[in-house]
Amino acid sequence: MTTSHTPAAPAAPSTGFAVSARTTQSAKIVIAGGFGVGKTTFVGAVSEISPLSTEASMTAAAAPHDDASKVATKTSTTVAMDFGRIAVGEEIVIYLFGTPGQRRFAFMWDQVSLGALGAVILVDTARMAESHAPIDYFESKGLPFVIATNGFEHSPVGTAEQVREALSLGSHVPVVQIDARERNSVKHALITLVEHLLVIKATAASHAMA
Amino acid sequence: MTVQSGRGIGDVDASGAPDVDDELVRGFMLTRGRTRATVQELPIETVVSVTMTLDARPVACRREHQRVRDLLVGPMSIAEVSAHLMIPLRAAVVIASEMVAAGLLTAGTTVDSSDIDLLYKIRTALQLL
Repeated sequence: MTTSHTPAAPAAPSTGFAVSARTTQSAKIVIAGGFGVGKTTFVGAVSEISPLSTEASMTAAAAPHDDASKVATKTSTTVAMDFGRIAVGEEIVIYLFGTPGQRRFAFMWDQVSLGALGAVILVDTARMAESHAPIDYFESKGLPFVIATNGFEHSPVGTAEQVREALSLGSHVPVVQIDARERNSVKHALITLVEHLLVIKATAASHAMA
Repeated sequence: MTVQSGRGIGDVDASGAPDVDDELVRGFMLTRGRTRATVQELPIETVVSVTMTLDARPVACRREHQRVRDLLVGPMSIAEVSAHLMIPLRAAVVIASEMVAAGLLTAGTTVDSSDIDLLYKIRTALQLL
């Protein structure tokens, strides 16, 4: 689909998937983590487009009514969310959404995580506590996730077991050590997530048969 | 896209600095202030494209719809519409969902992890990336 961005003639009849979204399937993966932990770097390392930025606003997302005057009060919180995409074959596109991990931005997690394949939680081992909020959230929503520790020079290097212990995670949660600047490293984290999903599916299927 | 087409959230005020609150208002002017769609809202990763048979449809095309249509020279997600038009994500969800419901845009399908074949395809594609 990346080669089909030619505008069609205005009155042209539909000629198939090349210029239509009809046969396109899309999915999303959440990349969560605290400020400066490397979410945008992670997304940019594998995205086929330069990461784009969009803006979520708390007032708008939380407002249950249609009142324009309430949209832009001084108390509204807006947060930028960077994202990228990966084409899988001709008709499948995966979007990677980098979302802030701080609890005060939790208002946007629902919109981003609902229907997501899963999440990669980026962790700086010098600031482990920042990961508790997204971990609690994804666990409560039943969204599978993997932990990716981004290698910072100042940060302690721990084994997967130590990281799990520090984050109070079960042994089933994969922990990978990555460098968010490295494409192969980021690929590895994403593949680990997809394989984790496959394990979960296989386990569920075997339980269903038992 | 015409140069005169209304710019949204990226506008700057006379001092040259973006005013967040004004930007937010302008973003939602596209939806006439509404933060919820009157139809089923589509997920942000939904890929949309311009419906080719538009001329045959008796649907009035409003100016805010035209901005979205001008942008969509090829299929792209609602999140990308938001980023390129510089409007808040929610505003893009509202307007795109309503345009799809009105037949002005065509929407692709979104998939989750329940499709195991898809997961295998994704894994293979990531390995080849």
